[in-house]
Amino acid sequence: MIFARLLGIMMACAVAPCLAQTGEKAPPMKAADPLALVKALCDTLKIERTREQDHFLLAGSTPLKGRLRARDIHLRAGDQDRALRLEEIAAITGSSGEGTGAQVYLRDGTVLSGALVWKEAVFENDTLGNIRLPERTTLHFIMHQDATDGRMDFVPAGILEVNEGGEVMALKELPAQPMRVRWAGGELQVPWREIAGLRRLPPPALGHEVALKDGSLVEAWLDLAASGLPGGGECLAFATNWSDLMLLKEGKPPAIRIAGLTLQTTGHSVLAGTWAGDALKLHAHGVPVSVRTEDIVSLSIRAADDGGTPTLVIFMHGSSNLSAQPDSATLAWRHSDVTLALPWHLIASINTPKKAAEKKQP
Amino acid sequence: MKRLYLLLFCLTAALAQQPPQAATVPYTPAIITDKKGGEWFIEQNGGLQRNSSGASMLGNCMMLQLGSQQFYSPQPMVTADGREIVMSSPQPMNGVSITRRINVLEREGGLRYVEEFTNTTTRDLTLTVEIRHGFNNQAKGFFSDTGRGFKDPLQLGESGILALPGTDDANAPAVLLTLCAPGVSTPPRVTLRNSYQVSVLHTLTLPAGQSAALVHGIAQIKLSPGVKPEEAAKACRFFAMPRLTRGLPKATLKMAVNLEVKTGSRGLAAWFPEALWGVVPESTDLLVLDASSRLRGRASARSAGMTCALGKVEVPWDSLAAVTGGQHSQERRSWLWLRDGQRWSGALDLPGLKFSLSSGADLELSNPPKLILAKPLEATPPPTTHALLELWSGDRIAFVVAGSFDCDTPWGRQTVAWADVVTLTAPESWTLGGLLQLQDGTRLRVMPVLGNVTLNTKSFGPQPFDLSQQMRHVITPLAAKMPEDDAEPAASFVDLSADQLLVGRVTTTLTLNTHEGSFPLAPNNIRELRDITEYDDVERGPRRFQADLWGGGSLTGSLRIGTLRVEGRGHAWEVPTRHLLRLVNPVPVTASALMRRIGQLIQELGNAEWKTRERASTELREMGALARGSLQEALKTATDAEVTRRLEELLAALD
Repeated sequence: MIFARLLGIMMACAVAPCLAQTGEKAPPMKAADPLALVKALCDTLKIERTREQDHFLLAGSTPLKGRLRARDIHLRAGDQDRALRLEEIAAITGSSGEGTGAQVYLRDGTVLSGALVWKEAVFENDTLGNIRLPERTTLHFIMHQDATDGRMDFVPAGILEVNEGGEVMALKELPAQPMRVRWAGGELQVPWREIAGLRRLPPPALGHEVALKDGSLVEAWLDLAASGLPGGGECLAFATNWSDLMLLKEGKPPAIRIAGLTLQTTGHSVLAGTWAGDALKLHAHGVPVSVRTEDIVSLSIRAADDGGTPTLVIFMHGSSNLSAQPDSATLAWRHSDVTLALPWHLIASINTPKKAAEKKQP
Repeated sequence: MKRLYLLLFCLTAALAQQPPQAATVPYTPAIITDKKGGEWFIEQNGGLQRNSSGASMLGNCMMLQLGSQQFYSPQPMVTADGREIVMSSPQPMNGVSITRRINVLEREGGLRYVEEFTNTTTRDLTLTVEIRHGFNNQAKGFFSDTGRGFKDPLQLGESGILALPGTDDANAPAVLLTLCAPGVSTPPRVTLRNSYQVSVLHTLTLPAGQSAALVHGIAQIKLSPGVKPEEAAKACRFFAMPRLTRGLPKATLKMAVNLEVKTGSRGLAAWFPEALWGVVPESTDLLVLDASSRLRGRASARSAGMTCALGKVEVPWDSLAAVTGGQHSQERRSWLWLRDGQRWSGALDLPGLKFSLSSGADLELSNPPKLILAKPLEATPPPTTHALLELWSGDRIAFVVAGSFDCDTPWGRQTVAWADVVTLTAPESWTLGGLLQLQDGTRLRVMPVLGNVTLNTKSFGPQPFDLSQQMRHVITPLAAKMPEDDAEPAASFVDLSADQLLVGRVTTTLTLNTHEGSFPLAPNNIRELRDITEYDDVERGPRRFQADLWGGGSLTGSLRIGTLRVEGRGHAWEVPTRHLLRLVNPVPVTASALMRRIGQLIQELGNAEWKTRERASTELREMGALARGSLQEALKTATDAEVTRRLEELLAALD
């Protein structure tokens, strides 16, 4: 059983980079460890979880091994009060007592936050005996491994981290309403099933980075509350599986390679898609030129010093290249089922995948 | 004896009012080790040398040059506590006196430099200040502080560069140079020379007798050999500009030219420039053929017009400021520049255009090179009577200030009346939104909603514009009336991430989680609430705030996650608390019951009973600033000598 689970984890780790390389479509749900967050906490605290004993760490001391006992465990946040059983807890970090903040990691992978209140909390240690824990104290507990680790009643459709030091919840189903994505190129309505992951960008950015399953990566302001996401619209990270959540927490989007054309914006967004038109109408030194979009290998934009019309530097199949200025103010770009009119000043480059570009060479 | 006491008291009071003068002693260069283990050897001129056997990239860093002259100081001084080294040029360099102030930021593992420049001449000076950094060995590469592979100029949102140690010196810490505030209006030019040297060039314009300053820093950071961009960016955060500026006097911050953030600078000068296409208008018309050929005379045409994207238009000849024909511009576009700030590109329609030389000869011009018409007699820049919209094409269109437009803010959609707008800029990649400045002082990040808005243009009638795609910048007549400096509003406001400021009152009760429990705070009771999170702690837990209360005292804790409702003039915003940096109520809001009590206590200051008068004084003193307004009003009308004295004492205690 353990071997099978370990194999599952190893397979997931081995497969993920392979997908990034080949551009194969990712499976809907990767077999990854739901207790990845507990593992990360253990790494931070330099504690190795064991099957036999719990670990108790007080600030500035080495971990004590033993067993935690407590009754009437409650986690209170605002008006919410949730009773917890000690057996369902995988780790605790923060402070206990009314008016304080603790994070409780459950064995199914979810994380709760609030004021931890308990009665008769005792840590049983072989050498020190029973250590009675004050009602209010700063603590870290890593609980022993158990057969119920990583088990959840349902297959999560998504995993949501609500905010810093906050909750991580598994979603039974994704919101039905599409998410309104307001980005520099306009507005997109993205169904949740097309989202591979999203994370809140660090300040001074005000928005999120949204990774789509087609490989697009868009920095945008999101209307999360309107789309019905739990957590009142607060979302630090959202992923479709635990391993992607860990990636997002490190500031990395899920690795999905774009199979077709890639449009890089002057910001940090990347859009998968294709040309919406057959040709680009340009003028080079006053001469009108029409370039077939299928002949273009790459296109980059050179902004004009005075903020005027930019120059397009186009490399074509057959090693031709051309510097010219666009006739229109926007580029028609087909993304998903929508044609976007993207202002040229927003675009940094457009590139064809290497293999496709090579195939076209005479 | 009484007189002696009085004299002593006055002397003590006078001394107490003087700013503390830190004693200084001559500075002798020696190795300084910060708390992160970084070693620094600061030379007499402020330059940094490697002076120990430890691994270090520092070769010849922080060398200050003005033009071709290198800064030196014959006798640097250091404060007795060793915190600040001060070095001054013995005499002005190119008319500028220079002082370098260097602080060791021990905890951060870096040095802060404040360079002060004072123009000692009677004319305005433009200076190029170079700060040169040499490395012991070739740097392996450079990142910007946002984790971008650095080659060229700093981009918006970037404030420094990180030099990675080369393979010869792989164990050396990387060197972080923090150069300016992100989004600064005049970022320095950074040039890399063979990976051995970095030059940072600042251009300063210094009016006669005025001073300016540069604040920058250097840190040594231990990084793993194959550091990834995001790890590099993360490592840079602890030495970001807000940390460097912490504790600096307000006067220095005001002088610092590399901290002025671009707040959509009203910059009327850019809309009504002194030079058109690099040529300053004179009292006669100028025909500029090339860099060395410039003819003076008088230009004329039977009529003046243009066919451009918005249609065909004819304008009075006198309204023109400059003309250029298509074949002479890089873009092959003809341009008309008007005196009211508009400029259009398209096909010129100038029948009979000729240039009569002062010598008497006439030149027929079908497609003129740069034609700069004579400077008008009226004062420039002209007052704007219309708003001006600059498009991405470079065209500037005047339109009537009326109606409204819709835009997305980070917190939802807003309708904004053009009459409230001072400036509006196009979205920037680092925040996504552009900056909208309103006349009440509000600054907000916005993206105009996709779709056409009809603007009543001055020259082309009503025209549809998609602001989200076409707009680069908008400026309205309010820009000419508003002060250029962004002084803090006199009314209640909140400072938010990404240089946003909302003028309005917070109406949501804030819950501050302290070590002793949660405290609900009515926003009106807060004088100022500010983010005091240490940069090292940002990722360890919730941000910490300090609330100074109007009734006296302060509380420190974390804010419960949620939203704040901010109600301003005609607008209300629901702002996530994570965007909050500061909340300020400059004037207290006093409840009516409290106002009555204050009035009663002021009356009791004149009570026949001494005990009652004393108790009233004590209670009013405890009320602090809440009572200030009433005390000031009472003082104006007080006739009783003792009441006057007590009121004056209470107000003096408040000051």
